[in-house]
Amino acid sequence: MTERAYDMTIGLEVHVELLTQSKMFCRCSTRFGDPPNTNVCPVCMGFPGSLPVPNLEAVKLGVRAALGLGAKVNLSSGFDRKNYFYPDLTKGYQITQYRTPLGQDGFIEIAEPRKKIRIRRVHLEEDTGKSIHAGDDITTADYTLIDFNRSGVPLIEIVSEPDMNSPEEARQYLEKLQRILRFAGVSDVKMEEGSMRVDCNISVTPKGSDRRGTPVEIKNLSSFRAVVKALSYEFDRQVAALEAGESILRETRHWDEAKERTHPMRTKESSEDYRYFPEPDLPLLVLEEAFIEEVRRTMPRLPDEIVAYYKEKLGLPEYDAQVLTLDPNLSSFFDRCVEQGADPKMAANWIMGDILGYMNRQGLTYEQIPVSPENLVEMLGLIASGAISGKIAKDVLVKVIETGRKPSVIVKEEGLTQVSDEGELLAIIEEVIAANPGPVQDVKNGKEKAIGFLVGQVMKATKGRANPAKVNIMLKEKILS
Amino acid sequence: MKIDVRHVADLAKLKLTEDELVAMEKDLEMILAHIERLAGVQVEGVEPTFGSREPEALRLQGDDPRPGCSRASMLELAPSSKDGYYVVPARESEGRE
Amino acid sequence: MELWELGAWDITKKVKAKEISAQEVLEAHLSRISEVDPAVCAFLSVLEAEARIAASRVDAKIAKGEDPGILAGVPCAVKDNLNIKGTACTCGSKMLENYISPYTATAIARMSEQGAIITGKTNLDEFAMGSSTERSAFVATRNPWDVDRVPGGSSGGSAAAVAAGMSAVALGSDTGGSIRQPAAFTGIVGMKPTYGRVSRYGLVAFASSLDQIGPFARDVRDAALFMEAIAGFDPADSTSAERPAVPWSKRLDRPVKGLRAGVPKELLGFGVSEGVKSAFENVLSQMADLGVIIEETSLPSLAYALDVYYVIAPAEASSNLARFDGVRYGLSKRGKGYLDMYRETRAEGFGPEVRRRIMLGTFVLSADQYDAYYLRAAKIRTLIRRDFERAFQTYDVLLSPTTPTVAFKLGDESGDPMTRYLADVMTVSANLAGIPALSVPCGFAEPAGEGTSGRELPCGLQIMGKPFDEETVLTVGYAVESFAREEMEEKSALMRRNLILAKECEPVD
Repeated sequence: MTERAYDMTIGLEVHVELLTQSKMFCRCSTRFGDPPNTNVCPVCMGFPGSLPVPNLEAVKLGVRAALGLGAKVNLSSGFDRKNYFYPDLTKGYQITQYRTPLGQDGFIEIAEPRKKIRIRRVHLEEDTGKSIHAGDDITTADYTLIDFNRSGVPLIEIVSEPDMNSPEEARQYLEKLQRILRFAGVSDVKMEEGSMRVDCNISVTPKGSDRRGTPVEIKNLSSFRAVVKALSYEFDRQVAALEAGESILRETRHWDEAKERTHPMRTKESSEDYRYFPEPDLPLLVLEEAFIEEVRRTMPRLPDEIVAYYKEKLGLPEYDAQVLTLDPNLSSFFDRCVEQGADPKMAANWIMGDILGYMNRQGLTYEQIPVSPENLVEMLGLIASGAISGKIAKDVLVKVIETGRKPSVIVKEEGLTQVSDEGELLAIIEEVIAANPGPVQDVKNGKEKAIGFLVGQVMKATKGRANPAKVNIMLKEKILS
Repeated sequence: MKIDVRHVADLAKLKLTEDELVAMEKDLEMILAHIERLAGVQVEGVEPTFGSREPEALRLQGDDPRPGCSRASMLELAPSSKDGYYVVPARESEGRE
Repeated sequence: MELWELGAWDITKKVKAKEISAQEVLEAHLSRISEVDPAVCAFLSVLEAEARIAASRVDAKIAKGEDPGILAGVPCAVKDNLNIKGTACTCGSKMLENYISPYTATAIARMSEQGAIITGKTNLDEFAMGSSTERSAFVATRNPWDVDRVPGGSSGGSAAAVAAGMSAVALGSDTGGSIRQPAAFTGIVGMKPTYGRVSRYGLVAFASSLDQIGPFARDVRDAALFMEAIAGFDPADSTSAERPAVPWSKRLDRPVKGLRAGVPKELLGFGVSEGVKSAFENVLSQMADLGVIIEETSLPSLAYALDVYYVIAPAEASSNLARFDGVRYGLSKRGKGYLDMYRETRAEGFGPEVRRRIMLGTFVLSADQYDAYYLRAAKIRTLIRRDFERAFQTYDVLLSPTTPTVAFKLGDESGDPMTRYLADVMTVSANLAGIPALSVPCGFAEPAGEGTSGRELPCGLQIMGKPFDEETVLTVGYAVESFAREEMEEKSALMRRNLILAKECEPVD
């Protein structure tokens, strides 16, 4: 990527499906995965004579999103019609918010570089149906199958200002946006499931030029990685074109994941005149300050707030606080452990290390944390009291996950209790000393490190159950005294 | 007032013959010539009216899902359907690849 | 008196008193339809089987001593742009020629709950766009007073059905005068309620901010009774006002003495024929005799109402009709790509008037034109509303002739669409302002420019009122209809008998 001679300017438009039970303008279920065209009614199917009635929960979640993104919530906002023809758009128009959005002038702060990406608007709209192209791919398909279950599902659209200057910044913006919206309980925000969709705009200018480049829109991005790759590709393409003296066409391009390149889209969507006008079937959406305050008061805590709390009140380092707030399921798991008396740092270490490690190996998602807070807390208690060693605890954890039995039960049944009793240990220590004259002599000669080997032998002999700290002290006493 | 009838017909997705386009252009120009009178009205500082005066604000409804229309009843009206899906031609138009 | 000559009020009274049965009333109307509709072509479909079931249910309820509703046993025809589950809803268009409604409009459900018997779906100008019902894709309805003339539109079928005695009452829709103008042309009562008074859920939308469903009847009391059955808040319509129906039919004989009536001079300048003007002035003087204070007034922005209407209505219509694309229902021309499907389906499915309005509407909403046309028209709409608000500070009602002329002849096309549009000038402003408006018969007049034929046709008086003040409008209407009552009844009875002798009308080819 030719970074030196050219600047890139990136804006992102993100569509997010809201976590409501029913649709934006009718009471059909938003449940995912039902057989095609089974969650539909005259309203979302655009049958003649039907009328829209908006969903209160969608408005609440929209307000939450706006608040979470630091945006001003407009007390009065309107719905507009965006008119265009496409088979998955049932009315021939989409009800959206064009003139006055629900929220505006927010921001997302990214870390590297530390900067604020401004958010121009957050608005409500309805989703379209879903098209499935029969045949191998879109170019050979004869017909398209349409499922309207998704038609009318509530969406918010979040439009950033073109404040990002690298694909990396774009990725950070998306990750932070995802975290905020997940913690706010607004959406699942999963690109792989379609509850988060990203379109980008990128323009390129020679460094130092104050003229904005021509923005090109990129669609069909199915992951954050694809966003980064597409932006890099597009930057290179535009730079090459500019170097060759060509001008950049203002167009919409399609990202081809397989071929890892963009190409112009076949439809003329970008030159469409949407003939926006205020939706005559819907009066203005007027919100009271009290309503907004209630939403603010009852919304879940956001990641930045939780990170600050973990650092300031629980004394956790920045890194731990960030990892624990990658996902609301994780932080709420941690919170419950702390509520039940676990030491925050211990709990954090075990979650970040063994538990997440296990989850990664098994391909579990954050919704599938494999151990209960109760069991983790009990196990941490057993370590703290010396009942088991840290090393044994690792195995116990796996057994808790795989059998569901309580840690104390496993320790008891399998006789894993740490041996700290000097009487018990003495016998084994004397055996080990007797069996390893060489290392013993090393220790006597001042090679303190040889102790490690002898401790290891005691651990082996006790099948790991010996208290290693105690063993260490007792060995030293026995050998050096 | 010259209207690009071809462009408007394309936006409206109406297929008009050459004769129809000519007649349409004439009709629309005649109507617009009359409507031009609106340009002379003083509207400085006037807020537009777009809909009802009552209710002034939107009523919002609850989130509880309710059953809609049965798929069978709707697919009966469908011009073309297959395995519970609506079927439409995939390409935009003939000859465009 | 024949059973089909009875009005709604009388029918329900007699049916509830068990003097006649709902089924008898229905059969009389069904016979009348088969006798007379070949000459009038008001009905697109007759729902005999469903109507018989509904009528027997009403009779059963009465037999059990249960309340059968305020419209018990009243046969009612319904304009074919209103959805009734399981029945055809063509909107007078090839686009929906074979369409069957999957749900029922709220106003219809309420009517049925009140015991009304739906007898059939009536003809209309395609998608309610027109003022003569000649724009139907299927047939041109005739005016029962003179079958060579139009009944008006777009609710011409419903008006003709009531005027011809085929239905005691009927439902229509009014976007720019589509109930009032046909009511005036056919000598009956037609009402457009305040916007938001009656739910629009289930009415196929033409212009969303202007459409309202309303009743046709042969007298004001029947119209008022019908309004009671259908009016009221509906959560399925976000533009539905939270105002319950009022027992209008019981409040009609309030004295009108001392009421103030204004006559906007802007509504009298538009080519009002001599005959209509004379009938109008005659009514005004009779009202003055009753003690109504009548004054000329001025609402200057009404001079622009027609132009504002012909920007806003087509604009909203062009958007409302975008759903007709051949994907989920209705006509679908397949074979090539989906763009071709849209273009050919819509070109074939929509008639010339609909296509013209879609084009006009698309144009005025397009990006470069929006400010100059749609936005500007919306601002002038505010001025029109303000003029009405100001006028209603002084006046209780505003009066005008409903139409500039009496019913014109079929096929009376001058080739200039604007001339036809100009006929809506009296009626459109009530839709733009969202106020209630009623047309009551006020005498007869000769058609202008046809020489003295001796042929007289009905005229209508339009009474407009304050938002949600249907009560005053209906009260004034009730007083006015009494002036011409005898003449109306005599001439109407004659007209209805002559209908059987008329020739059959031919369908549109």
